[in-house]
Amino acid sequence: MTDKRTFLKTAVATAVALSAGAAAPTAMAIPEGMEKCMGIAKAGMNDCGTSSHSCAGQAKVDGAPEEWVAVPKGTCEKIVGGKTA
Amino acid sequence: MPTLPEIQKNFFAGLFSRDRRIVSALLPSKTLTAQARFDIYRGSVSGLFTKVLAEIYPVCKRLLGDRFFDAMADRYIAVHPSISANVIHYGAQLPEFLEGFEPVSELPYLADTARLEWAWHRAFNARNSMPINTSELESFDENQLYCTAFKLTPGSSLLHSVYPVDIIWQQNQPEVEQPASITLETQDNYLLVRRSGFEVVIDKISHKYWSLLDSISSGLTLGQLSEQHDDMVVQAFLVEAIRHQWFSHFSTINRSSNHV
Repeated sequence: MTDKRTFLKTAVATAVALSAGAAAPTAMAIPEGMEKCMGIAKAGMNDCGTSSHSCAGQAKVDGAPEEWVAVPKGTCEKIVGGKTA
Repeated sequence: MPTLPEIQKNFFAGLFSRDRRIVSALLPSKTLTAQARFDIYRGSVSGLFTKVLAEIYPVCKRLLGDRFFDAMADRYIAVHPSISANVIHYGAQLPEFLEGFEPVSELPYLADTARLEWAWHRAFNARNSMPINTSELESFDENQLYCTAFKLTPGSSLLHSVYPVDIIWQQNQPEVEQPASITLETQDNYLLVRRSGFEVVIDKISHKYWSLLDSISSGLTLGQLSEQHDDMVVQAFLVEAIRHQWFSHFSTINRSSNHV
C-alpha cells in the first residue's frame, strides 16, 4: 500500500516532467474567444431543417421505395478476404 | 371523423411505414392528388434523414456505393424513426442495425466501421475541454494521488474490433482517390477516438493502455490501477496519457469503503 503511494507520487512527477514541452502539436488548439459550433463543418446536417433552406434537392421520388440493389457496389471490393462464405 | 391524435399517429405511420391511411384525411390541391402531396412530403423527410446518415457515415457509404447506401438508409429510417428534435442525435443505432442486415452479411467489418464513424461524430460534436492542470496534479500528496480519478476528454470513445477498421476508415477518406487494397486479417485492434482542439483523433493504442483507459472511464482511481498493474506499465501509461492529453479532468475521491 504505502509503496504504491510513494510510487504514484514519483510516477506522476515523472510523467509531468517527461510530457512538458512534448505536448502534441494539435493539442487543444482552439483560439481564445472562439467557440466550436455544433456541426459547424458539417453544414449539410443543419441546413436541411431550416425554413430558409429548401430540401427539394434531397427529396427522393417515392415511386419505387422497394427498388433494391442487393450487391454493394462501393470500395468494399478493395477489401480482400472481406467477404465471409 | 378521426381525432387529432389519430391523424397525427397515421401521419407518422405514413412517413415511416407502408401505412397510407393518412391519405384519406388529406385534401388534394388543384394540380396534385392527396396521395401525391403526401408522397412529396414523405420523400423530403426520407431524403433529409438519408442525407444525415450519409454525413455521419461517409465511409460506410463509400464502401457500399451510393445506391446501396440510400436503399439501406430507407430501411433504417423505417425501423428507427428520429426520436430527438436534434438531428445530431440521429443515427446512433446504425451499427447494430447493420449487424442484423442480411444484405451486408458478407461484409463482417461494416458494423465496426460504422461504430468508428459514430465515435468520430460523437467526438466531433463534444463540448470543448481543456487539458488537465498538471501542476495542480503534481502538488497532490501521496494519499490524494492514490484517490485520484480522471475523466477522459468529453466525447471520447474506446473501441475494439477484430477488423482493421482504422485502416479501412483512412483508406476511404474523400482525399484518398484510389483506396489501397486491404487484406482482411482478423486481429485485435484497440482504438481511442477523441477530440483535440478542432481535430478528431483516432489513436491506435495497446491492449494494456486500452484496458487502463477503460478502467479509468469507469471511475477507478490511480491507487486502484496501481494495485492491479505493474509499476512500469502505470508509469509509461501516465506519460502517454499526460503527453497526449487524454484527460480533461481529475478529482480526488474520498470513499470510506474504498480500501483496496
